[in-house]
Amino acid sequence: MVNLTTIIGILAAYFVALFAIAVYVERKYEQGKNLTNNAIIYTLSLAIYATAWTFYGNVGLAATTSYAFLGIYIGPTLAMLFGWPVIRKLVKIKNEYGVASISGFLSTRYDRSYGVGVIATLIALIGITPYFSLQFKAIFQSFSFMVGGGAGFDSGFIRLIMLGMIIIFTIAFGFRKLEQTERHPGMVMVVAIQSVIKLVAFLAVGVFVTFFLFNGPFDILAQVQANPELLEAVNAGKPEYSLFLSYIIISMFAILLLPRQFHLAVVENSDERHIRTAAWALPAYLFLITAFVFPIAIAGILKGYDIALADIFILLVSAMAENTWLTMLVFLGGISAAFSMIMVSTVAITTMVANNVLVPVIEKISILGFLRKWLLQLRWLIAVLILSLGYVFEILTGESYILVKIGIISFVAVLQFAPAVIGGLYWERGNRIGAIVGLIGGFAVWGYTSLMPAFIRSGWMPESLLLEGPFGVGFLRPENLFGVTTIDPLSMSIIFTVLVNVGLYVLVSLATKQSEDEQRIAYNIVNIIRGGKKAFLPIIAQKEYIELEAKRKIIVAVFGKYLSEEEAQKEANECIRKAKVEGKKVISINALIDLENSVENILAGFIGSPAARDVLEKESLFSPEEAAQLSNIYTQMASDIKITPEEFAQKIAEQKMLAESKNNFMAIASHEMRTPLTVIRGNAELMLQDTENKPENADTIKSLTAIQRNSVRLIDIIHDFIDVMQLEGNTITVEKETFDLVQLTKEIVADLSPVAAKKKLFLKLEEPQASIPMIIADSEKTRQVVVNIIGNAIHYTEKGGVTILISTTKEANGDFVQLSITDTGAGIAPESRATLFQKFSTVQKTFLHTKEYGSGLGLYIAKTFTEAMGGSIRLEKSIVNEGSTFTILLPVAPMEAEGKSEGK
Amino acid sequence: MDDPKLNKLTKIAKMIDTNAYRVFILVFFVIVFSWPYMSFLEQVDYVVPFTYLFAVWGLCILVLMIGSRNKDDSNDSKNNG
Repeated sequence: MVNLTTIIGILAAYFVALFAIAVYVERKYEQGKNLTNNAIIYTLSLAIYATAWTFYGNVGLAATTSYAFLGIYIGPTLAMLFGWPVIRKLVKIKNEYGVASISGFLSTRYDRSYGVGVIATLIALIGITPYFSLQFKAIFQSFSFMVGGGAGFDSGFIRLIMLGMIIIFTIAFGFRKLEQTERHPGMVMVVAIQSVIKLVAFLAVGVFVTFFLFNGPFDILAQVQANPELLEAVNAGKPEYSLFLSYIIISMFAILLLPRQFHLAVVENSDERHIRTAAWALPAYLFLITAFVFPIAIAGILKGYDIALADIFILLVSAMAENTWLTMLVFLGGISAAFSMIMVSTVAITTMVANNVLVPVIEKISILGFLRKWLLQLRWLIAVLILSLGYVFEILTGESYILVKIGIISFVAVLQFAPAVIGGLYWERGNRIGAIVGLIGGFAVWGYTSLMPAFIRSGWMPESLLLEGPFGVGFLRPENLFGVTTIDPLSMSIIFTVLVNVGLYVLVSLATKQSEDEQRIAYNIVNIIRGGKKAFLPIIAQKEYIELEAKRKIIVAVFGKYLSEEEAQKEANECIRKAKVEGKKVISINALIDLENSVENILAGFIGSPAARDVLEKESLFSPEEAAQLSNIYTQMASDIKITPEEFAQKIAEQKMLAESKNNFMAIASHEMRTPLTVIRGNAELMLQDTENKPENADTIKSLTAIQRNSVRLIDIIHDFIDVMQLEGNTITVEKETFDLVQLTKEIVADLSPVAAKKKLFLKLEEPQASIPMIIADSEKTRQVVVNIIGNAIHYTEKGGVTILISTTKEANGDFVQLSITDTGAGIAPESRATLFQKFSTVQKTFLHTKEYGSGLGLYIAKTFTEAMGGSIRLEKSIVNEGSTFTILLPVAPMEAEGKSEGK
Repeated sequence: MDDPKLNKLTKIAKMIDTNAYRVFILVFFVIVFSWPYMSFLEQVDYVVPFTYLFAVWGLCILVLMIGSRNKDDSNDSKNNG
């Protein structure tokens, strides 16, 4: 078919091209531009679901099980009905707790238990690694076909070279960094590109078969009808309903619970809104990639190929086109399908093994402490071992029964995660012991009813076990457990595993108690959409007296165990930024709690949640005095209000519920009010346009103008409310884009100039004295902040005007672009300045109500947005009756900062 | 002015985007997908079930597409805690 050297050259070129793209995307990401932050790319990455099993195996399944195989793709479509609420909740949990894998989620939810994490890891390892062998088989089989054609070509040496290539590229794409909660945009882009290639390849063959090899779908049907043997074969009874339904059920869960799917859907998600698009676009992808399966299967049979070769029908029929490019496209499509599965699954399972097995062992055995510095290299080693295991399994199984069935067997294995995951997300009572017992029970039954029969049929265990049952007890036959003979073995296995798993999980959870810590985590996770965590944070003294620098040193030391000095410093700064104490010298105990939470969250991304908690228990940020003081504060609070601990807990719960209902009410009311107000405003504007400017209409025009003006004001207030609720519910997303602040400010000045001119004020942007670098921030939110500050300045100035100056400045935490807005307005009294940026502060109310302007939330929103973007905002100076200067600092984009320092 | 057709679609999207409707739609489609096994296709050849399943599948994707138009998240805090 194709020369061996040529094909290796093409493969190498293909992977090098993908690698170059991945490096480019990663570089852009580091510069603040996430090219994968796109709903279509997110959807295409989730299309990793369609592996080589789909690409090659579907045709085989269609040829042997008729239309039952469609259940494997209909299931994910039905699951996507719940995609938005479930995946969104998991994404929030990932962001809050630093979850990096499905086992990470389970161990975090169930009391940060090592036990749950280890069991989930073992299930994934045993259930999924053999699935790799199926992908290896597809790669080797298609390679063999391409080189040897019908005769085939096999060489152990070539296989090893290909394994080596897969290992190198998997590590290069997936393990360039230690932190696994950090996204891999390069890898995601590669998966998305490969999804496009496999779809295009499949469609190309489908179109060729249907419209070129035959004269359209009706011609294929006519040829089947004219072939009595084939007609009899394809109509040989309907596939069993239980099998079709079982495919739907297992694939509904597999689309989320397979480690690779969880990784791409949850860990790599960069915007929750993408989930909504993926909810319909992913099923549409699966629809398209299966649309031509049946014509290809029929074409293979009609052209006289042996049904045993059905898995490579797609290659065989594409070869009929006598177009090397089409065959090569199909070959690359198959390689893409297999490689993306291998790559992302390896990343996901390696993360599980490293965080749930390796790191705990290193932490428990002190002499292994030196390995902390080698975690990244150890991950590479684990990845190599996992891939080698899959390869060895492929060699051992060869053409055996188990390899054919391993896809479905793996799906049933991951189904065992479902009770603990769904229960963990929605049932507060579900606990650690219940999850452990349920997982073990379900997995054991899976081993007995799914895996063991496959071993027996592969000839690795005595057949008598299957026919007579262990020790001749027919009642225990693995495929007919407890005498069930009316349904197919797959459905029986699903029923028993789910029954045992769910039963044990629920019963044991009800029969055993959660620790207080577990109760807190369970509550926080189940209620995360409502912002559950906040309800547990006590309102304690705000006195700032704890030295931040001392805490920073502890954080650097903690990260320094696993990272280089420079990286540890960087992570410490990130923790401080996340805790919103950047730039402070001393902090309060309340802030220290936030700081420790952010350290735990980020550390969990490197070593997993249970290990992160253990490390911080040993090296807490709280000194004994601070811990005692925190305890005193709680005691004092309880004693002040003179209630029993039970009553105290009850009061907290009541307050929590009250706050939730208030927030829900506010959210609904704001959304509901916005629509009618927009209609009122629109109609008032239309009526104003239609009303002739005559003296007799003066009153009408005045009334309509008042309606229009006040509805605009109300809409602005509602927008402020929505912003504040999103900020408090942590549902606001801040993009990182690189853009020109000078250009943005010029646009804003142009927009607001008519407003200033109406008041006979000047509004000018001074020409910067030096070149201003690009900044990295969210352009929309930056616009909102700048408009707010300039808008306020215009509003509170009666004569003179507003001057804007842009410059650069170097602060302790990096380079910033500084935007100074100076007005000649009323100024702010000294006693009011301290609370100026607080929500609903007296200052803002007075400051704003006198002029019937805004909601009193604008400066609070501006400050919170600016800080979320890594910047700051402050009142630089203010003199009553002379004017004020506000300064906004926004970070310089990394590339710009580098360029600048190099330039120096 | 608001397009009444768009408003209607948004209302449907909002309705679909609640847990009660999600469960209803799931049950509805499981039954509809199962139909080829249940009754009327007993005697027909393989083409009809294939065409039928793809048609129902397309309809299901359409429902998902409409549901995804809802941008209002207020249902989530009520339904999904």
